[in-house]
Amino acid sequence: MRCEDARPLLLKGQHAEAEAHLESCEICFGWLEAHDPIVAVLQAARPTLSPVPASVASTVLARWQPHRVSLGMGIAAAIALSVLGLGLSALSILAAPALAASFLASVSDLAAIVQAVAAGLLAVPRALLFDQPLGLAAFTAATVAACALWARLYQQSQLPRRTVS
Amino acid sequence: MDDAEAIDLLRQGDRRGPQVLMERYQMSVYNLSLRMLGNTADAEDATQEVFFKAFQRLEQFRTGEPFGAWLQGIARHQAIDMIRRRRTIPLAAAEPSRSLDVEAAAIASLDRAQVQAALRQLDGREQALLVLRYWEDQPIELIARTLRISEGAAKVALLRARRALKERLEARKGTGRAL
Ligand SMILES: [Zn+2]
Repeated sequence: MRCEDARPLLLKGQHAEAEAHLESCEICFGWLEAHDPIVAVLQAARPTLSPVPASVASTVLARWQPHRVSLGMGIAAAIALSVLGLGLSALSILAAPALAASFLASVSDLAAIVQAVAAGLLAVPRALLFDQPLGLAAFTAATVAACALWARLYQQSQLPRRTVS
Repeated sequence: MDDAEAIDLLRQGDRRGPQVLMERYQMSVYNLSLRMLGNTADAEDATQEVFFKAFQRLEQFRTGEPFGAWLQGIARHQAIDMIRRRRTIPLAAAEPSRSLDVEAAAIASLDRAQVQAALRQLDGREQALLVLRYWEDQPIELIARTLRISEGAAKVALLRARRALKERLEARKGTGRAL
């Protein structure tokens, strides 16, 4: 179909063949816009800019949480906790040596029991995983996938929720 | 503070970053949303979502790209998603077509509020097409991308949307009066 045949058909109403021509004809597209009174009417009816309600910014900023916990802060917190734990242990040993000694003895007994149970429990997965490289590889892959899933869930939990005003 | 500095602050978790970016761009995002969605409540929701998404997905923003244009892209998609979730208003039976020149004269006499009201009676996709093209002056390839259709399909859809608006405007002029 030629441009001069398509244009009057397109201006009048729906016409499959003329519309197929328009799909690939940039010139007819421009011509139609230039000759359609609706275009000028629409452009003249463009709304003026409206002020933004103050609640929009305040809601976004109130809900916005910085993503990143600083690595330095994390390391500092871990070191502080370790020092605190060591300090408390040292203090208890110095303050009550007898009590500390009996406590440590009972802890070492308990530790021996826990170790024995753990060794028994670990024997099976150990045999399954460490003696079979393929099993270990599959376990590693599953762990990585689980971590990725958790990361994704965390990311989604950070998405905004609709506010109710 | 320029955009790059504000974005750096945002990345560092400094509240001044998002504050500056919101002050600078909320007007354009809100008004685009308002034009596309047609009511202030939806426009407010959309604007909030756009900024939340932008701040959450900052890693997708390429340094050097204009931040405002990136936001406008998110805003267009946000409005289209909201329009898709809405129920569309079906078009009433169209008036029989009259002579083009007479139509033009009659339609040209309509005021801005009448044209805006007629536009809001179209279905969401037609509204989006007309708003993006004639109020936001967007090129056809960008409109096609936003609506996830081909450029050819967008050209035809735009023509049909203009036709639908024309029919709405004719109906508003009243069936009893000669156009
Ligand atoms: Zn042509």
